[in-house]
Amino acid sequence: MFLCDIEKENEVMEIARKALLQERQYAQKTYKPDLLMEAATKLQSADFAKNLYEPFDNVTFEGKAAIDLLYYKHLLDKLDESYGKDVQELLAQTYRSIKSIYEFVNIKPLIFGKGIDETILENSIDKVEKKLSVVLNETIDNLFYSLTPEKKIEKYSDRVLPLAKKLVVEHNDPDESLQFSIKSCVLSEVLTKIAFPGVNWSRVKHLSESEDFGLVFDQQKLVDLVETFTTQIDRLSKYLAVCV
Amino acid sequence: MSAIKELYLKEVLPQLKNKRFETKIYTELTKIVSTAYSTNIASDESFCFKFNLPLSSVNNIIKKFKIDPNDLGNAIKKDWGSTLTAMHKDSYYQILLLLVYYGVTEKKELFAKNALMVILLKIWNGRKSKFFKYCDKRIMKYVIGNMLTNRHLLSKYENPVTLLKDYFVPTILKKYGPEVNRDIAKLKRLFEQCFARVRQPFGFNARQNLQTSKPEYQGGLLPLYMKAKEEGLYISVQSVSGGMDGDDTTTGYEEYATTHNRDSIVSKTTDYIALNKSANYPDNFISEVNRKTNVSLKIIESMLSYLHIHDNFDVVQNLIILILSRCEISSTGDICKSSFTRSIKKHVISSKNNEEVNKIQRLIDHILDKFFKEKLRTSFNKYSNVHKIKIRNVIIYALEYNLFKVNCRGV
Repeated sequence: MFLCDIEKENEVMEIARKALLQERQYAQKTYKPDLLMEAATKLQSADFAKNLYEPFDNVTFEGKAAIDLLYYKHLLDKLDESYGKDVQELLAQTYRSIKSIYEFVNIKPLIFGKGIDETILENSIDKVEKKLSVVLNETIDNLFYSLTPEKKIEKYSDRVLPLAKKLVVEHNDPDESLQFSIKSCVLSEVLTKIAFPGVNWSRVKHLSESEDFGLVFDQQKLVDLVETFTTQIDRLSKYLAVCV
Repeated sequence: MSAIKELYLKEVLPQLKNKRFETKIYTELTKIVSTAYSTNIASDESFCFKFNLPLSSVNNIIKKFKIDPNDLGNAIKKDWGSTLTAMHKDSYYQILLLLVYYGVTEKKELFAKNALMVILLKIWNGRKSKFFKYCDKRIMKYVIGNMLTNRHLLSKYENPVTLLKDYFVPTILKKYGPEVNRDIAKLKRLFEQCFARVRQPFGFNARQNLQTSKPEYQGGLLPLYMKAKEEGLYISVQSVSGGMDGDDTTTGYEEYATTHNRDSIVSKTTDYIALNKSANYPDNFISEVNRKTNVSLKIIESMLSYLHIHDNFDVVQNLIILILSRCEISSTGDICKSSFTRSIKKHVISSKNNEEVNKIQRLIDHILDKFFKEKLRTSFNKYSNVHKIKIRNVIIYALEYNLFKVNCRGV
């Protein structure tokens, strides 16, 4: 009889709903994260890599720059001579930016390529070029050719499509535009890796966003340097995309 | 009648009634006190100082009285009970306590004071050895100068001898003298109070460490000393004969002149930094530091201003001593040369794994730890080693600037 009275039933349900809400609010109010949870939250923002880095030194940077330029020599092998001067100038500006970033974050510059260090310069030019060419091919393979089509789309579509669209709008061949954009994107990744190998690039990115770093250092200056570097690398990668 | 009183009346008082005998004993006590006083004043050991104990002199006093130490010991044992410590049973203290009693009852204040002082010398040595088996005078000086509040007893006295003579002797006699005058048995209380009072500045409020089961003192010199030691804080002892490491090689005129010049540079520059709370640094200097370190202008300004607080006096002084020593500066002329900047860069900023440079780092870190905690509400240790280097350099550039400003521009 009681259950058949819909109004009464709604009233009872309303009371029950209110009681449950109140209980939930109370539980939320009195909730205190346990020690492990609190520790986990703090660990998320902790900088564990802070003591892995050695300070910047000029001699290491000079050695790195010498080897990096050999990578570029290989990549720019087929560049149209008419672009030579512009590229050389852009390359010099890019390496000034790279040096400034290394100096700013005060970490020791690393040389790109497994098993490659300054001692490689003691070998003959042919031997060096051969070795660097192997490293570059392996890198490009890992970054692009070895990826499944899905992975390629996932990794590059965001950056490739805008550039390709722009080229198509400028009345370029759609297939060629797409190919050029892909090359440009992959090469931009390669050049960033050459400049900041291993964990160095992620360190630079971390510091340009870290609150603690920003509290003491001129973080905006670092952000500007990183932006300049990215623009320069984008421009360089477009030159390279034409000749690779 | 108590056994001690009986012995005192029978073997001590009659002899002391003899004026010549009394003068002999008094002279002996005065000699001990004045030797202790002069050796302590001449020493730079601060509160690490240990007195040369006048054991033979006190032994001579016992002999002069022709008292059998066993008789004295037995009388004490009879009155004070059988649960006595080695200190209670020590004839050194026993005879001197009787002399204190003589001074108090016969209203011979200096006699009582000197006898009590000789008691305190031995108690001091005992407590000093117990709490500081190995005592570094440089650390002790830092603790006394920087870590004690103005109200702390030791900050009011320069050395142990003045502390004992000017504080403990009069206060103990004032408090317990009248009791002892009424009842010779109260000598025990006076003696135990001497021990307790001298021990207190070294360490108090002991808690047992549950892991080592050893007592850990929460107050007094010991915990502060250990803290300073852990943090590598100390005040360098500057002396003409001893270098930074305190070697005792003979000093020629040149070295003397160098040390003298350096001391004058150190004191002039440190005084300037510590006394100029609102020192202004030119914009181009701040921009230059910003360019070299990438530390933000705001933080540089804040750090520069923090360097001038008086609390940093000793750390700044030590930093300047170390920087001058690293750069081998012997006169103000060396600072005014353009090579000084290069020398700082080479010997202080870029130098690694060098004992002096490590000390410089520790001292700067001490300032920066405080600065980050007080001004930025964060921890200096959050920053990576490579960034700490940049932040430390701000302080080094500031010290270099002040050294140049004070010694070359004659501010």
